[in-house]
Amino acid sequence: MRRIILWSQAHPVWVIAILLAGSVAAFLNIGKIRIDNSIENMMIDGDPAKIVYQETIEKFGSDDITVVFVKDPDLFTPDKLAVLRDLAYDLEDIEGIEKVESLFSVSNIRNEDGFLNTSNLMDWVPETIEEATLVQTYARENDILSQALIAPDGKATAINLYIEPRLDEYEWILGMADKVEEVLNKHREHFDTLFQIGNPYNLNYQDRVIKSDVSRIFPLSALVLIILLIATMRSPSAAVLPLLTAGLSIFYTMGFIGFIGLPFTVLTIIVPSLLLVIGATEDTHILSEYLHGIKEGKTRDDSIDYMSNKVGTAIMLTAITTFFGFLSITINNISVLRQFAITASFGLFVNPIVTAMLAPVYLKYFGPRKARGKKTTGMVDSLLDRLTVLILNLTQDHNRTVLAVCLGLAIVAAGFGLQVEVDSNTIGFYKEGSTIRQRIETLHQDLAGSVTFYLRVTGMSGDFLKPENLALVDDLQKQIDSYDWSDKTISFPNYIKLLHREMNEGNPDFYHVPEEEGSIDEYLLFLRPEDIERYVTPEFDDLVILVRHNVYSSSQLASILEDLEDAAAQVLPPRFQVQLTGQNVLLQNSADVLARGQVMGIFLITLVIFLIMSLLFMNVTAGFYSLIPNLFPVALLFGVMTLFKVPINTGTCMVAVIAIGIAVDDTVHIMTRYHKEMRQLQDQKKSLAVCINAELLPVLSTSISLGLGFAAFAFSSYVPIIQFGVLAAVVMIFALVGDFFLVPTLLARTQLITLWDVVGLHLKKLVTTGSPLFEGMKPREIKKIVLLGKMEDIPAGHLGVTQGDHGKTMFLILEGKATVFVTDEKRGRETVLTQLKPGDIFGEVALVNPGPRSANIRAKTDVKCIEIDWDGLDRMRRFYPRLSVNLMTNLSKILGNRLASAADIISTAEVDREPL
Amino acid sequence: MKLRIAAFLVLIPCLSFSLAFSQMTGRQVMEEQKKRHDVKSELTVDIMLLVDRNNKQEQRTMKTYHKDLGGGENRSLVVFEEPAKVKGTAMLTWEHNEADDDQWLYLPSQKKMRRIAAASKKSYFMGTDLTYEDMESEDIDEYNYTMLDPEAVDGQDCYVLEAVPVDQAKLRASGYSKRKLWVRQDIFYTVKIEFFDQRGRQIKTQTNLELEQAKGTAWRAKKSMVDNITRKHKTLTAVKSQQIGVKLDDAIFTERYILSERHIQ
Repeated sequence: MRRIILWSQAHPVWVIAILLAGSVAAFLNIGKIRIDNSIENMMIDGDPAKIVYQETIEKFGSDDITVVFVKDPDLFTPDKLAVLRDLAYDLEDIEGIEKVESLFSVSNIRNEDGFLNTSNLMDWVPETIEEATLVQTYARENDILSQALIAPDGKATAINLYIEPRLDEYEWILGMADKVEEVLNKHREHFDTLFQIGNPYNLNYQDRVIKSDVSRIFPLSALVLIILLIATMRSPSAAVLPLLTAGLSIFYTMGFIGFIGLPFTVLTIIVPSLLLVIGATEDTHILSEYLHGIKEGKTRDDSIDYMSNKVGTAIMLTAITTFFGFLSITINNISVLRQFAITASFGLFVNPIVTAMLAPVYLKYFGPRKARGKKTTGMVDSLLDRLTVLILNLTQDHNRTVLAVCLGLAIVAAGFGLQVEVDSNTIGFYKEGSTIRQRIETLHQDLAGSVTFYLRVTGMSGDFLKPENLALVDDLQKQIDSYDWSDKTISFPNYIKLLHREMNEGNPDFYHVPEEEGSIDEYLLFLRPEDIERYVTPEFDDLVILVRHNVYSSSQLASILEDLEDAAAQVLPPRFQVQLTGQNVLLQNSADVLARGQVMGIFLITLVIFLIMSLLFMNVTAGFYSLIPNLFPVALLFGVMTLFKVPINTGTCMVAVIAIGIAVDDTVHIMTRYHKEMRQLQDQKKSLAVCINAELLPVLSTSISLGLGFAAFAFSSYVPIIQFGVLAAVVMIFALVGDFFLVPTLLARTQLITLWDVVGLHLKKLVTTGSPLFEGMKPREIKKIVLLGKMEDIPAGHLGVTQGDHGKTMFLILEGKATVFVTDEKRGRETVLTQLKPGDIFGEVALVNPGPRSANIRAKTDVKCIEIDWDGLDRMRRFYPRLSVNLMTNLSKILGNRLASAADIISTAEVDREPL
Repeated sequence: MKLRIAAFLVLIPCLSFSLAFSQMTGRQVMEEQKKRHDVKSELTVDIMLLVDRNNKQEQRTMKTYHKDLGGGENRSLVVFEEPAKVKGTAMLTWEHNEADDDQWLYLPSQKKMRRIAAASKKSYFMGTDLTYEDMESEDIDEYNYTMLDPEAVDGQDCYVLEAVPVDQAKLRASGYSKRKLWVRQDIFYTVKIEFFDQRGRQIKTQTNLELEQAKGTAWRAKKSMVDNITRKHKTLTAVKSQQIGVKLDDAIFTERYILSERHIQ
């Protein structure tokens, strides 16, 4: 990553050329994007429920009813009925409508003065008011028509449109609503109320609301973000850079999905936000380091170099983690989630590249030349300083308390959050008083709700010609009718009962399934196949009860379906198979799927973060620790959702993922920064202080800016978007708390080595093979130990250790040569004790027994060495226990040998009486 | 100018052709048809095949007794013989000249006769694509027949007539706003009918096939097909046996005959 930054800095023309080429390619493909929020897309591939549904609608036709609601006080007058007939005719002419069911199409078998009349309710428009009133009376008295086609007061009617079930053709479904609307507009003036309601209209409405929201709210949100970034970073570049990098990444991503033909869905709609979040965070870190360089008086080019050194690794790490995190969501079988994952991971793949290329070029030409505003914002600075101190105090001195409070909070929230409701309430998505909600309420006052599902009963051929079986179905239907939520049910027995009554002079005592064997076959002769084909198969082995209701909440529907299954199991003998199906049943399933998808997404991302972090920091503990600050905001998020009764739905289901995306970014920045400082300072307190001081401003300003940017979504008129915005804003704060309180607290308990350092470290052969300290260790282990120590450079001729100074550390020479000598204070004479080469150690006695140094060490050439103290060994013992054991063993051997040779020397001295 | 002469020359034979055959009015054609093909009594057994949009088939056997009592009085009895589960279901019709027809239905499981309202004649008969109206004998006074240009059907020259109910009342009583009939010029037998609904859209087409001279001037189709476009449904009928001029007792066409189940052999 650092190389890309430096290369880009050196080749600005190339960078611009490459980015331009990318833009052109994206531009050419962006037009191919299609939007798809179809129900099909929300469903699980190969879901058995979907197969049942498809098989059911193949047998019984579509359950997708669009209701055209017509209300007028003078509805049943010849004039109005004539318009109603023309309206029904025009609707029949729309391609894609399987069947139009209106007062003009239904049959109405009835007893009339002792005669059986099998004609239609209304073949012709009545010529007189009396005739019209008679039709109205017949319709109201017909159990099948009442509430489905006519209001109990006779002032409202419905024209039911059975739309071809083309679940996967989103544009087609949206177009259907438009076609119907066009026909309604033609006749609108004739009726008090005239509107359509049903899935195509609902999807169409949702589509328009989302589009208008996105075009209105997204720019607003971006504006808020920009202003805040400029204000907090005190540099216009802070706003321009994210806009450029995230903007380009979004552009490329859109081009990409256009190119490979992925649709734009309710989920991918958040990808731009996601890219802006992560992009802005990266850019702010970059800018912050660049400004740091400028502040130190460096030139633009040098500052870029400084910046690349400080953030190069972090950018690469975050890029890898988030990329693989989001890519991992592709391993599931829900199209909409997979599409989201591919889109997001592509965006997260190009974003760091674009950033690494564009940022240096931008800074090279437009980067601020000096850090400004120091004086005017002294208050902010002092606030930042005080915050840094506070964080340090809390995380250092009240380490355990902070951890306990945070984890306790997270556990309580998560426990609470387990009860978070999963609910996709397609109507609750709109604000109170919105057109769609008004329509639904108006319809429901007069007629059955427009939501439907089938209760399908499957038996054997001819089963539903047997009176006893139909009686059972009738019992079940009566039970369904008794539920409050149920508006209307229609099934084959309704027709038989009606016929039986009318065959018996309309005597209401005969309104039941006839008991006589064979009577149903005979009655069938009076029914048109098209009347009953939606309710029973020609083989009479399969039957559905069409249930109409007004329940839009998926969780409510779920419990209704459960009750129904129980009821069916009680009423029907087990040889009948009972299935509940319909578009809304599948949608309800898909709400569950979204929730499960989210859990799986979180799990996968968590796993990937854990794996990558463990690998990068070469330590499972570090991997585990890096998870805690990421899961902390997620746990709190679910707690908040439960507390405020915000369900998991299409809007809110991605907030957790965004939370992890942002949290992991800052976590990585803080962890790598800390690690860098630690290698230099070998002091946790100091390292943390430096780290927090440097990271506080960028992290704080991006979090606040993004939080408020998301908060702008609260001005949406689509509830899931409002919920998404508010929750995302809240989650930014949680992530911030997690990153600044949990990461430092946890860091104080670990020491980090990155894979990157290990790979980048080259040790002399003498060190890896010749050092007694590393005896029996693998080169990788040796590198780890070296990286855990504090690196020291001693220029040629300088003293590394001075005799008499207090010492508690041990040294290992990595490069160069040094001389160990003692100085006789009185005589001023230097006696050389030994020469040190790479791999040699010295000062090991002081390590175990701190005290005045017994000799001097002077570098003969430039010396590179590491200094290890007892604290370091202690940390090593905690985090790399196996390594520590090996090191300790070798150290003991060395000390043992030292003891032995000392004893030797003493005994020899006793013999020779020679002074040391 | 040359073109106009050429056009004129082409038109002459066409005009003379149509003039030659338009000497008869539509009504005359229908009257001739009645004269040739109506019989005093008839006993037919038909096999009906109902085919739905999914190609599901259902077979029925029906026995039809028909008797012309003269003066516009007709009697008919349709009895289902197959499938076994509806065997004995019967419909008795008394066609009157002036008054509305009388119609009764007998359901063996209920063992009672049920009177059918005249308004029912627009509805389909027993799941077929024929309405009660289609099964009645044509009342020439109730329609205006307009002669259209003749056409050939299966190589046979036909008169083409458009039948429209005479008045608003008849129109409303009928299921059709218009019918188009193809009548063979040589034998005056209807070989094709197109039916149109009140919107003027075609509902169905009936084709009569395999014509045979049954008795005297009377011809009968051995097969017919009704292709219902709006219902996506077909009714195919084949004559299993046919007796024309057979002696039928008037008592057959009574409620008592049916209630005593003598129609079920």
